[in-house]
Amino acid sequence: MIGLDKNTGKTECLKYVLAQLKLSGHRVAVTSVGLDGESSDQVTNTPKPEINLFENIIFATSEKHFRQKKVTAEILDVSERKTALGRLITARAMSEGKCIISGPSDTAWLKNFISSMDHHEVDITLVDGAISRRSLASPAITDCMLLATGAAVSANLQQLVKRTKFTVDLIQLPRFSDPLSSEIHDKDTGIWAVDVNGSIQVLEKEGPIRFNKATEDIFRRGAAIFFSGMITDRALDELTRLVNDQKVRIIARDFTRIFVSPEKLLKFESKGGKIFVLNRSELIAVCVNPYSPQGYHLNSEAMIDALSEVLTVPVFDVKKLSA
Amino acid sequence: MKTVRDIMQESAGFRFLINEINIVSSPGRKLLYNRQMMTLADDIRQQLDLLEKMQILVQIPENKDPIDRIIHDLITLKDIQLTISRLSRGEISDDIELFEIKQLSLLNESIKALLKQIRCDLIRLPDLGEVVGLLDPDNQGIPHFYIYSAYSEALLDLRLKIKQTDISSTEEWEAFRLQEQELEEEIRISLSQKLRVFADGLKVALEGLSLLDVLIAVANWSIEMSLCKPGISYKDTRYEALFNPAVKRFLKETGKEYQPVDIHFDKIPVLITGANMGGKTVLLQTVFIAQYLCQFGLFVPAKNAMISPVEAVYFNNEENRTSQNGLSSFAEEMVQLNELVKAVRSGKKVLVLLDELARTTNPDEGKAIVSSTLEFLAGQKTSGLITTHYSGIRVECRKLRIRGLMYEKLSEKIHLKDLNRYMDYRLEEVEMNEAPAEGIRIAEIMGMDEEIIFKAKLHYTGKKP
Repeated sequence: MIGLDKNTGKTECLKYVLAQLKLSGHRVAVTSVGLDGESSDQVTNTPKPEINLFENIIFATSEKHFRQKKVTAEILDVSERKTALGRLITARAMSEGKCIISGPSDTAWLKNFISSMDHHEVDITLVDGAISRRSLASPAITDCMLLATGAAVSANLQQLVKRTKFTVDLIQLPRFSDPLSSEIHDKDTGIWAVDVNGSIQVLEKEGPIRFNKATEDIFRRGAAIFFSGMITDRALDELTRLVNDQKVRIIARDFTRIFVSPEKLLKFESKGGKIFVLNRSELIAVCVNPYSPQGYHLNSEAMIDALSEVLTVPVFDVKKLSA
Repeated sequence: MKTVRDIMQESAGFRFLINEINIVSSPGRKLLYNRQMMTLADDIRQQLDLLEKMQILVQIPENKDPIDRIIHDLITLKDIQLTISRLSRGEISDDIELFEIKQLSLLNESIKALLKQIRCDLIRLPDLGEVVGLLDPDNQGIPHFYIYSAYSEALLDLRLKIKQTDISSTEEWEAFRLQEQELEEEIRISLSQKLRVFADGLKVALEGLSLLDVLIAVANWSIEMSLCKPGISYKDTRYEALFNPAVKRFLKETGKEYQPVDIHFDKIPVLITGANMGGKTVLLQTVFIAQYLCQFGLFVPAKNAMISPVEAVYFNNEENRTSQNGLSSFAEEMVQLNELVKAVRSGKKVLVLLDELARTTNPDEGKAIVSSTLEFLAGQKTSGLITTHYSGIRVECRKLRIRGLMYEKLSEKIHLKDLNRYMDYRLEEVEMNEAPAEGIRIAEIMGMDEEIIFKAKLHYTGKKP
């Protein structure tokens, strides 16, 4: 579960899904990811909200938030690793209640956590995620993804649709499926050339890279370039200039690592460039919140219609659904 | 006294070896890394005997399953020392701490049973059945914890009420929650009081299980690495088929074989000469590693070994140099050498390993420094291995030579990669004072420019006009 911006109703959406899952009889776990450190959400700068928990749900939160919980909970595991808010406590709610959820602080840990839920026979793990360039953790390793968007993004419906569509396009970028992709995964830093013959070569160990004529050779021989960190407008600009006859293929770790403007991406792609991602979640729906914290609100149906027109996934207003 | 961690920082070869030990718990790793170098023969023997007994146990086929289970269970062992000391001070344990205490106690009980099954009495584990009883009132036997309703009727009643209250009627619900918290706290206070007497037992369990993790991992590692249990002697040190595990692994990966070496030395320093690439540095590094392994109570990389414990090992390996004080490599070497001399004078029993001492200064003076150091060490009856390229060192001491290039096998077509096939790494006793002159020949084999080789030969033989 990720929000396009603050106040887009991510928490509402999460609560709605939890409430539905409670009725479904599935075994559910919930955690959060992406924010190492503060009890306020670093991305949106709002205090982290309490989540309603139902009996038997498994939740994982930091020691600090576990101690503030308003729920009777059986401790299942205490991690050895620490987040900035202490160790990660995995617990089962023994009653209905509330707790702030602050989970693992990096992607690998989140991955381990999700797979460890098998021991507790969990059917579905929900991750309260975040898109942030400051975060080491990405929710893009989950099977599926829900995106929350809303009036808080823009009071102008066209703008809102444009920005939402762009993020959805990034989420839906194709996966780089190559036998090598697991080897690339382990490259934590640097920019790499991934050759068709299977070899991986470092182009730049850390820091930004200048792409120039020499880079053309990489593409000419059919190789792709993997960015272990961020892809920025500047890098994309330089690469766009190189797109002539040869195929330019670049690989991002996941969509949260791509920080480019829609215009630059469009230019790159229209010239024939292609972006792939290593980790990809299937976007299953977009949730809208017609209310903005500034007080104005958009027409819910008009929003849903406008978004449905440009998106390939269903669009819901969870407030309306729960009413 | 130096710890395993210290030597891991000093020596890459030692670090390689220790990193191969598959300890599964963090308290186990902490225990091994903080282990101090032992100097008393009895202490070392005791550790080595313990390890030998564990090695026998892990090799019995019927023990495989229970030991695999032990290893699997030990993964959950956590360092809860702080929790235990808070408990022993009479502080109130919170739910997370009670969870940790329960987890440790259950682990202790299950591993105790498994140890009994394999008839292992090497580790003393306490009886924590009562602790488990206190923290598992529903008798579920699983390492989860919360303040169970079984602790108090009042709590049970209250929780039923909470369940029947709608969470959205906030005030009522929160009032009940507050009552619940008060009741839970009373139970925590009473549990902490009852558990306090078991604090020592919990400590013993934590230490025992950590040691068990270390012993099993080290026993398996000793088998995989073909290490042997050294004997402890105050007389001399002898290695039969000594090998360097990191180098051996590297050679094996490139399809080559390691030539183990026999060496012995007592209280007289030994001067070792030999060609470049003859393995002098590797030999010294290996002796360094083996000496420390033994004094940490671990097995050593040899077929047979008898080792004389020392109070300190001095090794002028460049790896060990800190170079933070802005001194040149020669200056730093001399500072280290002086420390060694001081230690020897103070009567400390040391093992001296000097690899090409004073090689970075001019050869005449370098030779003089090697000679005076050797004389000093011989006079002080200090054991040591000193390698050199310098010829004409006329000090009374034992002299060994690495056999080096096997000229009879040398043909015109030698591949650089195969050079080790033409090297005889064995040591032989020699009387002469001359170091072997194989430098130019080796440079030639390495493919050095012909003109340089030709002129070097002229210079060397004095035929250069």
